[in-house]
Amino acid sequence: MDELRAPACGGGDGGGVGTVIEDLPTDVLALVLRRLDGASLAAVGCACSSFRELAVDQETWRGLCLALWPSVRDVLGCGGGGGGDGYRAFFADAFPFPEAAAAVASAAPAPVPGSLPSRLVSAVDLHHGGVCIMSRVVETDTSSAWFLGSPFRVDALVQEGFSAPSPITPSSLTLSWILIDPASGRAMNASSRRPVAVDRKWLTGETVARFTVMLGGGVALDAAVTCDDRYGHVREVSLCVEDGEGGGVSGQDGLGAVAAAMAGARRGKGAEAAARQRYEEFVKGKRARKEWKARREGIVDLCCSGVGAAAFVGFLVMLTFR
Amino acid sequence: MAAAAAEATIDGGGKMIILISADGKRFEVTEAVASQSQLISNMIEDDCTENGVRLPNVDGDILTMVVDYCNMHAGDAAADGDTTKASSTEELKKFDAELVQALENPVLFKLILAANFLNIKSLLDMTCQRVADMMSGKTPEQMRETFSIENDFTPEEEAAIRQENAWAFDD
Repeated sequence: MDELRAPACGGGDGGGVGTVIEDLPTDVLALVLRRLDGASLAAVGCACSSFRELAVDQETWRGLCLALWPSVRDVLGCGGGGGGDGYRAFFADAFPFPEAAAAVASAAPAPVPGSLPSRLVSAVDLHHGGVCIMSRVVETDTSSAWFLGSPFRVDALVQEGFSAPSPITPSSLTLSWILIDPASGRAMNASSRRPVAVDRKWLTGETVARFTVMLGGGVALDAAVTCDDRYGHVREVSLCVEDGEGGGVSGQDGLGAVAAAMAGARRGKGAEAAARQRYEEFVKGKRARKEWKARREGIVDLCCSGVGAAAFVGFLVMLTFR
Repeated sequence: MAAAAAEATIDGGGKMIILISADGKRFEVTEAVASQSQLISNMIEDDCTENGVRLPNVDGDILTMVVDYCNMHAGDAAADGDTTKASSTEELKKFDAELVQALENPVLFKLILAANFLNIKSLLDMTCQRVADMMSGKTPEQMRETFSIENDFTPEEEAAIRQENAWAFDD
C-alpha cells in the first residue's frame, strides 16, 4: 500500500529527456501566470494557443486590475457589463498610455456634440511610496451646457482635502486616473503615473505634482495633485485639459480630445519615458511660444511708443515754429 | 521491503521515514522534515509510511533537492519563538535563491512537478515565482525561445492576437 499512483507526467525516464513547460499541469501554470504583471501576461498569451487560453482568465485580470486600481472595485459596468472579456479589455484600455501622435486626428473631424460621451466616470487612486492613500470614483455629467461651455475640469478632491498618515514627498506620489465612458465601456489612462513635474509655491507652501499626459492635436490632459508636504495634507486632486499655449480648453473640446484618445490606439511599453519626453517638448514649445508672443508684444510696444514720441515731438515742433 | 521497514524504524529520536525515488534511491528523513509535504503528512496520519514511501514519478536527483529544501526549512515551522531567527531567515532566503537560480529549465520544471505532487506549498510558490520572473518583461518571441514553446497559431490568428495585445510589448 505504499506505492503512490503517478499522474501522467513522464517521471521515470531518468532525466535525459527534457521536461518542457507544457508538461506542467494547467493549475500549476495558472499559479505561474497569476504572478505576472499585465504586460507580461498579455505577451505570454501571444506565445501559443494553450497559453492563450490560460492568459485570458478573467479572475487573473480582475486581480491585476484591483491590485493596481482599488477604486475600480466600485465602478459598475466594468467586467460585469463588458461580457466575458471585461477585465482584460479594461486593462488593455486603461493601463497603456494613449497614442499622442498628431495623426490621431483629434481636432480635424470636429466631433458632433451628440456623439460625445454624456457621462464620464473617473476612477482615481493616489499612492504614496506604494501605499494607497486615496481611492475615489467621481462621476461627471458631461452633457450639461455648463460643463461644455466652461474650461474642462474634473475634481476628484476639492477643498476639504485629507491628511495622509505620514508626511508626503511629492516626487514619490503615483497617481492613477482612469477615465471611463460608461456608455461605451471604453476607458483610458489620464495620468503619467509618476509626476512629470513638481512645482513648489513658496508663497503658500504648497506643492503641485503634475501627471500630464499628451493627447493628439497638441492638447494635454493635466492631472495635478496639490499638497502641503509638511503636514502630509493633500488639498486638491484635479484633471484639466490644457492646450499648447498653456490656456484652458473648453469642456466640449476637451471631451472631444478625450473621446478621440479613448477610441484611438495605445502606446507600447516603452511609453512612460517617451511620455515624459513628450511632456518636456510640450513645455518647451509652450515656453517658446510664450517667448515669441512676448517678443512680438515688445515690438508692438516699441512701435507704439515710437509713434507716440514722434507725435509729441511733432507737437512741440509745431508749438515752437508757429 | 521488510528490511527497509526495519531500517526505517529508528526508535529514540524523531520517527524516521524512508522516501524512495523512481530510480530506487532511498532518503531517510525525520517525520518533521517529511511532513512539510502535505501528501506525506496525510500518509503519516493514515499510518501507511512503515514500508517507506515510494515516489515513482520523482527522480533521485530531484528528490535530493526536495529533501535538501525540506531539511533547510524544517526549522522555521518548528522554532517560532527563537530569537536567532533573523539571521537564519536571511540564510534561508539565500539558500532558496541559490537553489532555484542555477537550475536549467527541465530541472526546474521537474522540481515544480515534484513540489506539486508532494504538495509542498512554499517550494511550489518559490519555483513558480522563478518561472514568472523568467517570463516577465519578455516579448512573445523571447518567451518561445526561453521555454522552447512552439508557435501553433495560424499567421492570421497570430496577427489578430498581436494586434490586440500590441500595447504590452511593442515599443
